Amino acid sequence: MSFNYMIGYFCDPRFILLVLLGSVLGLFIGAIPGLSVTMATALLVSVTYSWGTADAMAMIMGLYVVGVFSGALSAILINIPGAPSSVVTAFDGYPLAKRGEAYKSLKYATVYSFIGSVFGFVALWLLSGPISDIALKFHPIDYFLLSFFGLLAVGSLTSKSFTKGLISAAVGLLIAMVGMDSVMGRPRLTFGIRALQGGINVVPALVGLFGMTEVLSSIMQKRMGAEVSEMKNEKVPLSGILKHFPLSMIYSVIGTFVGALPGAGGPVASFLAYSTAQKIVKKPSREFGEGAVEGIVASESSNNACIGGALIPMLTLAVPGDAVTAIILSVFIVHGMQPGPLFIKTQPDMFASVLAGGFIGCIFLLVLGLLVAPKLSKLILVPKRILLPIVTVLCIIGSFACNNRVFDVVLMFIFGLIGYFMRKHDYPTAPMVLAIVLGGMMDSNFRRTVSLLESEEHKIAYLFSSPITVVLFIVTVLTLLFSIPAVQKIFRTKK
Amino acid sequence: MEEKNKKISPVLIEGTVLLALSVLGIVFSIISHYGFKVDWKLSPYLFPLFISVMLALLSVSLILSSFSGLKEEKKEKGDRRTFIIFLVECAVYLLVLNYLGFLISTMLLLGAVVHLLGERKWWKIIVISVVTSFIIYQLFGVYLGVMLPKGRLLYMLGIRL
Repeated sequence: MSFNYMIGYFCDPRFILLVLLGSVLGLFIGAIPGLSVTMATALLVSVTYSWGTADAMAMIMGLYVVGVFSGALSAILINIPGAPSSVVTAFDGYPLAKRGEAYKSLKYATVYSFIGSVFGFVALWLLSGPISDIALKFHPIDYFLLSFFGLLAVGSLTSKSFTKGLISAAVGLLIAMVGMDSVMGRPRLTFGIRALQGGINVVPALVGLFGMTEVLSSIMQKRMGAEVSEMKNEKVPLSGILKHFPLSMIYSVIGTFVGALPGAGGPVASFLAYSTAQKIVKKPSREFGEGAVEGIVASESSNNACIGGALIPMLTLAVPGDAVTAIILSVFIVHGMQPGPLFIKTQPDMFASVLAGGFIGCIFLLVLGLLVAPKLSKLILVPKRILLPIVTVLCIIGSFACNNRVFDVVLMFIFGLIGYFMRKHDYPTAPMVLAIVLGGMMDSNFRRTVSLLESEEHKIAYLFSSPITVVLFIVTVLTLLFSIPAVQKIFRTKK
Repeated sequence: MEEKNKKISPVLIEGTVLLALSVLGIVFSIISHYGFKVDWKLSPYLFPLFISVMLALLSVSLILSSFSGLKEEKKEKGDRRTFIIFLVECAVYLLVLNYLGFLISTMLLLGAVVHLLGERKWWKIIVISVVTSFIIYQLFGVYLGVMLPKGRLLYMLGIRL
């Protein structure tokens, strides 16, 4: 059924135009170091607040797909990755650019980002149905365990210190509790402040934690200045590029799988694919780290395949795979929709809008990457003294627009400061964001489980009556256990 | 050397502050729960209590790790003066936003921040602040229908934007 809707979107010029608009935004934002895709998506949520969901999704998907790719542009040209996912691309892309082969490097990045993205969306299309069927059998405790596992995974993967990652998540959960209680309908943790009765809106929190934090960190560090590699229009035969296609499928599988794990995301996927490439490619074009195109292929195909992967748990289980999908989940929520096991069946048009937006975004990625990206080399170095004030105003208007009240702008600044201090003291912000988005769902499922248990005679037997619960419980406990430094030490010494 | 040893680890301070906050959270959840007069299984404060207990355990773990050598990487101090002035400018902006309206307040904020971050050419500052504010005002206020603050003071003076 979603296929028919997809065809409809493919033929809708308005939808295509919005994807193009998002893609162009993504190209610029992803390429400029300091402006992240996550931040831009958060801002877009507020801009698209009053739009139709399909329109909002079109623009966001274009931005997401092309934004993840265009981080490679600054990684190749100035050795500063535009996004964390592109860190690995810089390993070989920049040395290649320094040899005067920046165009070749960019062409490889474009083609394999395209292949990776398409792979991820095909996986999303094919796997979402079966995963939703499994998810239909989930009990409240399963949702709670899954979200809990997601927070644990994000906490352990996004920070050097597991404790700090979890603290970030716990504080995020407390923030999510502010507002009217969904079961009793009474204000909770509002401290008598009337403006807090509606809860803390996700948008100012996201804009503050990503956008304003970035502005504050840049102002404090005064980081700027870099040398741009020259972009010469050289001939790079397509047959030479496509030679690596079979291997890119392996990296795309890695990317999709890692993307589907909560918290892992693009940076982990590209590192994993790169180390796999180092093992399986016996004769690279150059040594890895000195300009091997195989390194670019691994990094770009895997980090873009992550997009489709990260959307799978978000759409089928309402558990986002990374920060951007957490924001996309909030888009659905602000538009009155709830992703989950029934989402594909009850909202096939919305599922199709994500897929169509993704596939059209892939096409624009290829077109913009080959035709426009090579001409952007000078734009990467927009002076921060001009860029940061504009981003500040965008953050202000982004947070204001969601409820038309100055209180949300104040909240945005508070979250910006919280994010800044978290970054300064090595606390990751991703678990907090995930917790703010998942908090409500975790609370209601936790209380539902407690209520159900109260009425059961054999509590433990009831709790573990489903194999899904048992598996989720084991996975959660193992993740918790293996993230504890003392346990990790024991295993390392045993090796 | 002695002075160095005397310095309290920032991780220890963070852990202690978080522990204090989580204890406050536990006490607040329990007191608030009894105000509701419902069973714990239905209480809105059941989950906040659970999280506060978790946070307390994590804070204790953080405090312990500060003794076993978890140290934060030393970071450059950075430009504190610019940082604080920026925050003050934003605070002033929030205070005057409702009185001067979005357009004028944003122009002033943009001009002030661009100048603060090092732009010294006046014509550039004016062009950036005026053009950007107008584009954003037009885009959000007019095309996207966001109800931007019009400015009470301007309204009183009879100016309609």
